[in-house]
Amino acid sequence: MVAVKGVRAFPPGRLIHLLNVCEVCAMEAMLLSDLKKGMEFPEYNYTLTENIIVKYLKGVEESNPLYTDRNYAERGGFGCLIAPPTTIALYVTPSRVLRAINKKPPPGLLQSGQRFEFNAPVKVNDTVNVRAFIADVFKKKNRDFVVLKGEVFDSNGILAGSSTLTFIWPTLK
Amino acid sequence: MSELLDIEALEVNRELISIKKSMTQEKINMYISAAEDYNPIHVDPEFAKKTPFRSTIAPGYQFIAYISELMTRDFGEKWVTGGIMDVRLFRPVLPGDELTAGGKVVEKKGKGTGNYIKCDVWIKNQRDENVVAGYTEIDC
Repeated sequence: MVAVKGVRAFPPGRLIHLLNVCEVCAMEAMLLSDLKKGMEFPEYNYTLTENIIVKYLKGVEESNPLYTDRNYAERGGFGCLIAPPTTIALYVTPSRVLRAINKKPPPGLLQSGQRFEFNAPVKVNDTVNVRAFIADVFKKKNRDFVVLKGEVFDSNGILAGSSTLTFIWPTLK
Repeated sequence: MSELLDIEALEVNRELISIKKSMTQEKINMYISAAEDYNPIHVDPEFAKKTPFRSTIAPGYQFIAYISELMTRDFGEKWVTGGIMDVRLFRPVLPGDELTAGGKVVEKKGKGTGNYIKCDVWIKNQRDENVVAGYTEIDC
């Protein structure tokens, strides 16, 4: 097992991931006090490669033929294999959004709510553009909540979907 | 693959066939490998031992996808082009948890030339506790 702080349970042999982890480790954690309602983040692109989708499908144990059976998918309305709509959760995350400003989320960030709106399919190997902003920051029952919204546009500029994530910001001790 | 639901014949209170899943650390690692989102609470047992959960936990994104799986199974492409999922997460999911994702049609009405369908959806654990609850909406 390769010993990298923060990923001890992770299997070895995935150099690209370890490099990414090291990159993230070097970043400073975002402070709650720096997050304001309406704060916009730099846009970023993300390519949904077949390799990523295969791992995703294994992780969530999904096997719908829209995502896995090329022949079935080609006969359907989309004409090709697509990514599961919930793969939006792979690239609209606090980690990816904060990475755009060279920050990382604090450890222990917890998701408490999620809203997805799906408008159009994202095809395998398509590169999407993500525009994210802080939709709300509030306190409830002595906990700090942050709402992050990300809109996703496909390579033709069509709104493919949006993700509104509510998470509990950890209290630093 | 199971057949899509017959929308015209679909009635309010119809239960969607539930799906069962077992969470494991291997599946969490696989999901994290796809997401490249290295929150130690998901992948670092030493870190996780010091949290109130005393264990790693699955990313919420990972298991709420089970609800989308259920909706895609029953509504197919319509879910991808006009689905909304709005859920709250109530409990953590730990490796070893057995989950059941289900749903029920609670509203159906005509909308334009098609239909609007709303479902209550949930994920329960092996203790029958709500892990996730909320609703889905779909224009179909």
